[in-house]
Amino acid sequence: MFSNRYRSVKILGILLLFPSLAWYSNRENRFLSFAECMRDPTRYQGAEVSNFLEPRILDVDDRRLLISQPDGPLEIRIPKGFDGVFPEGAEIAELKPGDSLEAVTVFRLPGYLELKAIRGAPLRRLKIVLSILPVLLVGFILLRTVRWRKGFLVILPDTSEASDKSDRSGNFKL
Amino acid sequence: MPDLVTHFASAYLVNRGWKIARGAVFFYLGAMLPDLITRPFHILFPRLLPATLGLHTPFAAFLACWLISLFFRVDQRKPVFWLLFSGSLLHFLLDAAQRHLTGGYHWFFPISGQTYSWGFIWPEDSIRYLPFTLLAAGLVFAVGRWRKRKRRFRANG
Repeated sequence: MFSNRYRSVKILGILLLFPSLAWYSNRENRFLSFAECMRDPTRYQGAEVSNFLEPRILDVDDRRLLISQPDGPLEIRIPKGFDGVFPEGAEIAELKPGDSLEAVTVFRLPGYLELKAIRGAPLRRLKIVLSILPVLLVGFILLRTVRWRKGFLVILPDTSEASDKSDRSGNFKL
Repeated sequence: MPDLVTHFASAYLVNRGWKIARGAVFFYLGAMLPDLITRPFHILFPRLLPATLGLHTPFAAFLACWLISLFFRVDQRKPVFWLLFSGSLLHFLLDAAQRHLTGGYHWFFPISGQTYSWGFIWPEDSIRYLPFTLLAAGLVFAVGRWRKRKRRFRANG
């Protein structure tokens, strides 16, 4: 598994496996979309449409929700007395334009989506931005500790605190 | 997914607790790897989401760790692989604690498309808990520094 024998074949094989896995995943995770429901409305009456692509709230009031999708804005109707807002106890009024969301909807005739459950995720953008910081930090440490030598990556020995035994057998300085 | 700061801080705490071998940076990298090979693609290109779901799995992480390790010198491949892969498993452990309205993680992909999770916290809750997570990591870091300085002081007489 780790030897130099057939190394390039192993690398090539794994590199080919990734697009294959992505293709298989794409085939296995075919989400029902509103557009698909509209192609045969009677067949999809009552079907659940829940996997939206990076949706954001464009507009919201008591009766309808407008979300962004790659194909354009999508309207979702909110039934009267709707109480499917998560986390439990939250209300529709707490949802704001610009927020990310997770939603479960049901396709209804003649051709609209009705909200079944929703969860606003206003912190999603912050989560994505903050996630860049540790990537930069780890990248910086990797640049300091790894070098390209004679066709291979090599981890440099930690000589900065050679007098400290625990460090020599321990971690890169972090 | 919890944010990567939480994943990184958790890996740091585990590393400090268990004194993982030299090259801890690979453990940290492994703790972020499943998100690094999937999230940028479906955040920038939302239509790729169905394709990336199968790559945020232990099997794909195993392959990614193996691939990365093959670029290292032969004597360093095994430790690099295990550090990366154990970091990735820690990542999946944290992800498993999450709750979703829709979807979830395909732990046994490509054998099974079933999704499982324990459902303790919502994905963005990690941001709310982040000050506490960072405080814990900062405390451990500070105590580690203090102990190291004390040891050096004693060694120097």
